[in-house]
Amino acid sequence: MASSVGVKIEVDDKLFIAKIADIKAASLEAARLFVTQGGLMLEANVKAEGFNPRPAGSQRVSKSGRTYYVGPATPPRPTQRTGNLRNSFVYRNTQRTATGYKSETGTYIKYAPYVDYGTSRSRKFPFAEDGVARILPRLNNLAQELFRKAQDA
Amino acid sequence: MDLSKVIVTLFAETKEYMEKMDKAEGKMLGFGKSADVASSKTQAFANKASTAMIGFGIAAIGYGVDAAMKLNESLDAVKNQSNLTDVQIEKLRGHIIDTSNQTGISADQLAKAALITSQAGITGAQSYKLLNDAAKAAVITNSDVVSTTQAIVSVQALQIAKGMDITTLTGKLVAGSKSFVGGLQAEEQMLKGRVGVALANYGLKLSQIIPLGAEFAKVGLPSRSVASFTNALGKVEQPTKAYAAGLAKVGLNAAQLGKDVRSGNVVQLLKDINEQAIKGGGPLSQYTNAVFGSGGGGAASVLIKNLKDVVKVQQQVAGGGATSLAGSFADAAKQLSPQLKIFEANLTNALISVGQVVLPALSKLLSGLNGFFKDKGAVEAVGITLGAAFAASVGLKIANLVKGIAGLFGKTAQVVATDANTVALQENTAVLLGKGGGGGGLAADVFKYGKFAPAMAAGFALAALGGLAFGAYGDAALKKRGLQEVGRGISKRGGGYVAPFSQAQNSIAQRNSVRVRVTN
Repeated sequence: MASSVGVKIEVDDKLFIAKIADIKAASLEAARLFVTQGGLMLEANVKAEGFNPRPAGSQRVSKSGRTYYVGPATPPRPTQRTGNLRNSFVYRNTQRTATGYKSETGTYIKYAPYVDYGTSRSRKFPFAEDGVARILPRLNNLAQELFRKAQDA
Repeated sequence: MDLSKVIVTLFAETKEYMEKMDKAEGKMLGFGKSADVASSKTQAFANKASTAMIGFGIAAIGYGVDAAMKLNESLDAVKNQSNLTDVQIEKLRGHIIDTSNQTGISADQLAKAALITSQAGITGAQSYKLLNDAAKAAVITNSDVVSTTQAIVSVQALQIAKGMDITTLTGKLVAGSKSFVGGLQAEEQMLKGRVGVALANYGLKLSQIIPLGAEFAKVGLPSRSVASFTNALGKVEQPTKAYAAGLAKVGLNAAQLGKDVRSGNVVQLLKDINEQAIKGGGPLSQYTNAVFGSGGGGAASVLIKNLKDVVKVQQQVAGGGATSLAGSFADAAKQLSPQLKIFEANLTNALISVGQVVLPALSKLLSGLNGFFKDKGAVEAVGITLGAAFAASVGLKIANLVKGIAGLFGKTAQVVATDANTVALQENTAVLLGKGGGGGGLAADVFKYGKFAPAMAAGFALAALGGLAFGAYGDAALKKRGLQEVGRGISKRGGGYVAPFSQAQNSIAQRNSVRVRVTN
């Protein structure tokens, strides 16, 4: 016959901590996905909705061979002529920061700021600024979805 | 502004989230350390006594007892300041735990909110409903549940809300608070204040008063101007001949305006004035001053200029109710922060249940120690470290009891992991109790909830930590009162039992992040 008997409950805290670590890693990955996908969403939106299409027949070619355009721009969106500005607006990169991730999407074309922000002689055509406002609800949904999935990691 | 480029930078900041996860990790690490200390000390005691060893998640019990004591203190305050009976208090406790599990608001805070409802004379089912609605409203509006309960209690006592269902009222208040500068509390102050009461006296309903108040709050009109506006409604409702003649001068029909006010439709009144102002030309103030006097004309002009906003809020409030409250809460609860709070509340509440079961048993066990265990500090000290002095004083009783159990088992080690073993243990305990056992008071107190109830209670609580209860207990064991108390809402799934946690927690549970194993 035994001289002793007892009841003992063991809690495997290592598993819990490992799970927390998994969730943290998944959350960081969610952060990376969010800024990358968000940047791509912005690029797609600005290209699709940020510019007015070129009006039919507005392109002229002079005798000297120079191409020029007639007709005024229709605010608030800039009118696409050569498509140079529109095509230059792209998702650039995703970088790790101290507390998460960041991505850059936009254009380095010299005249882009003057179009987006306006000048003393021209009104602004906020193609990028409005693009951000348009996709904000979708960005919010994307963040919720990605981080919820991360919790289920 | 950098004019050399147009670059949009998206940031994903995980700092706050990671901090919360680190905190959870830290808590678990701390718990593990306490459990290790408790385990080694228990082992040391067992070696010294050379007779028996019993340890049941001491650290968890310590935590649960502490949390249960906090809730008890709040419920004691409810009991002392109301006429609730012990049975009602117990029912309230269960409801508070359920609401806390559902909304993530701490049981302690909910108990404080319950005190407000009982002081206001709201009891029984009505009080539970109010508490639940207030908790949901607090989550939606991101405010504390005590002040939210205070606001709802104040408003439901107003004449304007008489007869209105509490959930509908809360839904309307929450819908209105979304457009109210200062939120729910400012909305409540307005409804209780001079303006709200005056408007209600003219037969205006909540869906009319809240948008007007919201617009006044947004613009920040002086209260004198608002008061003049409300007082002038009396004149419009019952116009004198001279007043009607004054209105006729600017083309307004006193009879029509009076009808608008009598039907409680101030928005229509403002629309009528606006239409006449457009038709008749001239400044709007000329018309508003004619109706509301120079004191209230300004307030009326503000409302007319923002009529679209007023109508929008009016529609929001009119459409607010039980459905909108449930919908808004479901949306809010999907966010990360409330999810984490719900997780934390579930964990704490599971351990509170352990404390509730264990506390009275241990309290009686140690009645000979001059209420040592009733002292909160002593409970914490014992619960977390299981000091040698405690072990020695309690050990004699435990040793005698366990000797008896050991005799019945006839084994030195046995893993209690099957239903058969559990049932055997149950039966053995029953036999032991039938024989009187060696533990005397301990047996009578600890085992009155079922065999090894504290141990299993702790087991379920720890299992609830990760959402998974280890499938070591049979249905028969679950039916025991103690386990029902602890395992409130725990349902059977697969080989184990799962606490009704949120999706996120279940996912953690499914991966067995915390396992509970009972061995002897």
